[in-house]
Amino acid sequence: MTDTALPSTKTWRPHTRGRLDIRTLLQVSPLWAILLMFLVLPVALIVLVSFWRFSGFTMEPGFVLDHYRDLFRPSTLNLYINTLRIAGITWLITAIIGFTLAYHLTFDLNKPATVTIKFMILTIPFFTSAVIRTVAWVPVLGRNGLVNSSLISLGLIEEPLNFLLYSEFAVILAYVHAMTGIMMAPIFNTMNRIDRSLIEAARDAGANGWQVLRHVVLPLSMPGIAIGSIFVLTLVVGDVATVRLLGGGQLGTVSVAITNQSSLLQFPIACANAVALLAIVLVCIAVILRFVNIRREL
Amino acid sequence: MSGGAVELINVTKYYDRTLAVDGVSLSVAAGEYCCLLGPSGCGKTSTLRMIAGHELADRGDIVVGGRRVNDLPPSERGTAMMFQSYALFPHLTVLDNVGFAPMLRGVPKVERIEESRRLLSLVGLGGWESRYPRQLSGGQAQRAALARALNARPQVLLLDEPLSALDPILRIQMRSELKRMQLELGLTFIHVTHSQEEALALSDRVVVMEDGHIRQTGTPLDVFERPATPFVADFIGGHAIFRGTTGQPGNTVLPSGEILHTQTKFGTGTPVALAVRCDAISFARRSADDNSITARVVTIEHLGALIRVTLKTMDGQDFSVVIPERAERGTRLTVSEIISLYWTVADTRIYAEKQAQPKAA
Repeated sequence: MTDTALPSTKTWRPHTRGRLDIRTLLQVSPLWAILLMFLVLPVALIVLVSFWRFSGFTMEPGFVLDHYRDLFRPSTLNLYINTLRIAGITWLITAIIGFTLAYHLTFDLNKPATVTIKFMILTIPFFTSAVIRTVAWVPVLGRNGLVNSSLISLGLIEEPLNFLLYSEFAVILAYVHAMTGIMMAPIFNTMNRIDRSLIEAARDAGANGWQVLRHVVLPLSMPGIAIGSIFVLTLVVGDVATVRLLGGGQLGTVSVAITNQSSLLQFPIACANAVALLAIVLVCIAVILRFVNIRREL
Repeated sequence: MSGGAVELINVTKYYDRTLAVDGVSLSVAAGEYCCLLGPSGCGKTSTLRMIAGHELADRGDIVVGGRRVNDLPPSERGTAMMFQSYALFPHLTVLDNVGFAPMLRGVPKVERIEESRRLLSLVGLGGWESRYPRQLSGGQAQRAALARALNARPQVLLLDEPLSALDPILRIQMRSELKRMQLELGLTFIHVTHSQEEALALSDRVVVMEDGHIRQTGTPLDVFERPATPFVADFIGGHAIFRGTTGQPGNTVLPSGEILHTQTKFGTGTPVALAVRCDAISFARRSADDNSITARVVTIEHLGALIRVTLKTMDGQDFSVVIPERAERGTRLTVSEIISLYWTVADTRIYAEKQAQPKAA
């Protein structure tokens, strides 16, 4: 036998990054299709419509900046201030509670089993429906609700407290309740990864508990805090149900305004508000990411 | 800065039910380089951490520079620790890392920066102040960790396997740097390692530990020439260990039936271990009353200037012989060959098993 050629098979090449061929394209196409259909196109449409003319009853294609100009009216600006204020207060409270909980889970507990159990206690209740949880605040905070009735029967107050429900207080309370877990989990994740020998090194250098917290734990938890903050910010700013259910008719936020305008078929102005809100959130996220490197957490 | 003496008096440590350190007593003189040497789990790291204050001793006294420090936090003991993983703060520059202890104390910034710069050039990292730990190589990270520990102005520097993470060439280089620095600064260094080569190279005093106990302390040469137990002889390296039973007075019988001459006061029938330095064994008989043993060659390792030959006796005991490469040329060994090896009777150390009582032959 002089023929030493091996039977021919398809040429095999090791996988190299960035190589575009039909198989690669097919593999990414489902994700591309979803992103295109449910993210790119809707957002593009919203941006487009935000420039359309609105005649009072109908909208027509065009290019006007009226709706963006209208955003600067005091009544509209007020909506944005409300929204950002609510988001800001929620963020601050959830950050403090979330950080404290994460710290407790990471550093105060010795047995991994205890950590898991406590973590589950803190997160599993939130697998229930968010709307139900929000609505459940009504019988708790209402004039004849749980809190008021208890306070009255304990003799601490004579009249029910009105600010508890249908107020900004109730909205922020509900947001904090819903979002603390969302803030805590990424912080816990990052904190848990802190090398314990760093804490020992800090103690070796003479750090007391607060100094360890300030100089080691806090800086090294920043990626988790950043991720949690991004979650909380976007969720609160985009939420409308809580404000509707617990805010009472007087509390105006951008999200409520958008839904009101949409139900009145005033789509161009609704879209303008949506774009503005999106822009604000993107700026906030950009600022966060500018100062904190989250890449190593991803 | 000058070194302080360290004394451990009957120090004991339990982890839950496990006894990690069992009544350890040790004296380290001021300015001494002391290595704690032993296999994993022998308690050397626990002992070091108890001196540092990162572990609490369950019993016993720890004395640093004449003060009993059991109840003091790590930063008030006059000790500073260099961690195995260096534990440099990743979010701080090298300069801020080194200046960490003074920063906590409230030392003004200008003074802090100046002192940190001085220490960094002392350890050979001048110019690297604004780098971050992730930009440093292993050797550089170690120098930074050293500078940081020194900035705490300790009397005693505690090093937890500082060279383990380095590649072999760097390890030897950093080893002599550590020694040089210790001599220059005059501090007491206590250095934990599982490498006998490191311990022999660096220490003024070697402390060999096993199972939570100190088996022997002494100068490297002491421990190498006169190991106190078979374990020490084995661990310190460079010894062949043979086990057998004493027979007629002056004889030890190996399981293979071979008889070795040893001078001993042990009664007949005592199980014993014999230790001979690897470089004391040769392939040629030098005198009529040399001990001899028959063994099969297992491997021949060419280590450059030395050859290590590992062998197995007829009764299955493993040992090695080290000869200079130039000497080997005359013998031309082959694997699986059965040969005889010889050594002087006086080079045999004999130990009764289950007792740590050495008798020089």
